[in-house]
Amino acid sequence: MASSHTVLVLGGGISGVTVAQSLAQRDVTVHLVERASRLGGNALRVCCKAIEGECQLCGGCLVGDALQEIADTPKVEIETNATVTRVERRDGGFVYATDGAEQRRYADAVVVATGFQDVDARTKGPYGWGHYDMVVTGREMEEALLTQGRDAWDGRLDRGVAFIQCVGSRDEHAGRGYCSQVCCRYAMRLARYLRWRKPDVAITVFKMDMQRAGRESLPVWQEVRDSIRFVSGLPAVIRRAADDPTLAEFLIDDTTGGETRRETFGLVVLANGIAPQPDARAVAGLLGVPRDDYGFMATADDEVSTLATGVFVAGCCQAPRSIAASVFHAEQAAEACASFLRGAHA
Amino acid sequence: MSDARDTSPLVLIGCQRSAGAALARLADEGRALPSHVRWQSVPCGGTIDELMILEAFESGAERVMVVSCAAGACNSVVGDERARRRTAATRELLEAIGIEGWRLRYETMAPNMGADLLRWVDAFVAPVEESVGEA
Amino acid sequence: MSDPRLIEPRVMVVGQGEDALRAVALAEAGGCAVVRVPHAGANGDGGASGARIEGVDGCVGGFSVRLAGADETRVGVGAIVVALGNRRMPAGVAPPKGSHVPVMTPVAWAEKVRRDLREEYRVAWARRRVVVLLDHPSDTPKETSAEALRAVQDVIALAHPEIYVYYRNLQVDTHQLERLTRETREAGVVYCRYDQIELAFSKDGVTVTTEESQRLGDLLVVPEAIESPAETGDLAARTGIRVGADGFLQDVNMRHVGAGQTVRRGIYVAGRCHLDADAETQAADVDRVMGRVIALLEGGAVPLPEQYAEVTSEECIRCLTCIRTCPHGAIELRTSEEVTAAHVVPEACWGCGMCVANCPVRAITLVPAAELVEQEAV
Repeated sequence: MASSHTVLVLGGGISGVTVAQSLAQRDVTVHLVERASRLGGNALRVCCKAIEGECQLCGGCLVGDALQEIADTPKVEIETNATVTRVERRDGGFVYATDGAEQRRYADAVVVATGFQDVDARTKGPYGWGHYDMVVTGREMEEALLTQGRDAWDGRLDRGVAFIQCVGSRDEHAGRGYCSQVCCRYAMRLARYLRWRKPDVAITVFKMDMQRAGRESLPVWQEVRDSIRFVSGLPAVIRRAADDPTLAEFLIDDTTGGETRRETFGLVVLANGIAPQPDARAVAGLLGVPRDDYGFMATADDEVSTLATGVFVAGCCQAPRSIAASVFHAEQAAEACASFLRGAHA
Repeated sequence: MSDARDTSPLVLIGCQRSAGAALARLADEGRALPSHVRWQSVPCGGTIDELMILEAFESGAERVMVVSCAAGACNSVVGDERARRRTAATRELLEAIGIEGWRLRYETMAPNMGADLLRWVDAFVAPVEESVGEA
Repeated sequence: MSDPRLIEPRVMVVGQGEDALRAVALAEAGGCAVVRVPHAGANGDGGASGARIEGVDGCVGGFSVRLAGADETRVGVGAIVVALGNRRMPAGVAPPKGSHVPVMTPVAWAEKVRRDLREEYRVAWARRRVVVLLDHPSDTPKETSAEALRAVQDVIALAHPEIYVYYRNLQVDTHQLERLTRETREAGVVYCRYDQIELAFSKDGVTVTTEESQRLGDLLVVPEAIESPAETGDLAARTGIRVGADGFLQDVNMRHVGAGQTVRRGIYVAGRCHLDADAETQAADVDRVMGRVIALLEGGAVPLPEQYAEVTSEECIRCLTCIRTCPHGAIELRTSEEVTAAHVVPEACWGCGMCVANCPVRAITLVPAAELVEQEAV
């Protein structure tokens, strides 16, 4: 394999960093462009959910490992605080420029790893996120545990906690019929974590179908399956309880129990999912990559090759996936890209 | 209960994948350990033993905190177990030679628990004296 | 510094099922020589047949594998891929004796419909009510639930029975599962969620009662459960791989999950023997591992880690502590110029430093990075 190939990687989250590392190991030079001031992307916002000093296998720590590895990789040139602004096909490859730089650069192939944004919980207006302070998103819960410390929610668990799954996912009316992949995973672990913090907390998970996820989630699932209350059915509306405005109240149609009842909770956690980035269209347009019905980057059946020759995708910009699955996907993308480089420039 | 912050010398011995990575992330955010804390990095918690901890005390530390990855997250599988056992054994040694056991602590963490690490360091103080009472 | 270690340009694929066949095909397509070891039946019951591994000496790039039941008793390979597959077990739904309700696996059911080609059979099929039962008595693994939905799709293309899929939690978090669920729903398959379920077998069929409904079916389709192959423990012991609490290779550790690389550098696990996922994902896992292995073998020389341990042979007292301590199998006893000492193979070392810490005479150091990096906190 010629070591003179260069690949442009757009996005320095865990997928972009993994692609860059994989390509560098195959002796390819990489230019990794990240628009934020640091690498790590969305994975940096995942908190550790270890219980009793034992890992719950959420994958949040993987980004730390990836960032440490890439720091020592000479074949990867890292450029932060930058975006790619112009891309043209030329000389069998791509000529591009990043903002603020006069210099045009050349790459033999491009990998898009621009990640995702959280589903805006306001798209489920009836849940009152943004109006009611007892209604928070899963992301907010993670963020607080991350920045304030692992006892951030201890004081709010005394009057019942409700998790509501599939906020912004599996909802064709909202234009998002897909499963976001990560919400059941993190909700299970958060529920178990909160119960470890306060053993007598009353937790209910309102779900359509709990996704059991991969082998790493099985021990967590087996533990919560019989010990946490699951209700099949999502509430239609959340209101303040009439007798106590600090409590959330909702009517529940239990689709398997066949009855309707009213329940109150001191804390409601909306498990919001994954949506394409707001600038996904612009990025796709820059490279001539079509997008699918939901706005994610479209690919061939291998899930890493786009319909634009020489352009590959890795991570959540292609479809929602967990952190571990993103690493897996990024390695597949690197493999496909390396194959392309071998073939096109044999 | 005393609220005075303890700023006596503290040595933090931690593996590079847990505390090491967390400190790198904190540095990116402009945060760091307080100046009375000396940071000592090891490649894996499994390398931490009695000698290393005792040498830290010998070098002037009045408190030592040992940090490794959580169980089931060690890259070399058994490093955290070793760190935990060796720290417990060292605590017994310390008490046998007249140094209070509370001066040695063991914690597990992940690279995204930097905020907790800083709080542990701040909270690492002598326990409140029990009032002398009947046994 | 030791000489760069050249790689034996051969890969050993362990196992004999679909994953192993896929791995072999990929290796051959990638131009690598392959040694196949079925390692079947080696579960202590004495039912072994074909070649199996007795032990693995050496390190990545140059493993020396001891075999039993094969023409050669020792084979040199550069890397080892364990693709043992998994084992199907009946789900445990059995009609009482004398009941005439057929209970079939999805694959057997689809096969039967395929064989019933005559027109009168097709008409008879249109009158049938088929109950596909998921998650009972325990959660259906993704592999077999995807298989069940594929069978549903295959049957719909050939005949038109009424089909009811009963489930506790419909798994839609892989591409294949999501697509199968959507397409079969659109084709008229009825999906019924349940928390509690009862099956009552009678001469008319099987009555399925849940909180929501009661239905009579005349054919019950139940996907299989999955277990790790019986050979797992034996193979793990002989290769230095660990086994997880669920009985599958390797233990579940976030830093190794999905990576394919086991704790012993150069030995990989691929496919069903360490993953519960639909067939597409399992196949992609085999592809990814083989991609790595082929790249490794093509490279010619094994890459060195960032830092590795080195024994000062003159000081070694041959207590074997380091060899026993190393979780990665990277240390061996070596004789050179009449001196026998422990030797760390740099390419197999992970730089964890546990041998360094455990050596009673401090004869081991980590190079090139320093063992302790002291930084002044700001």
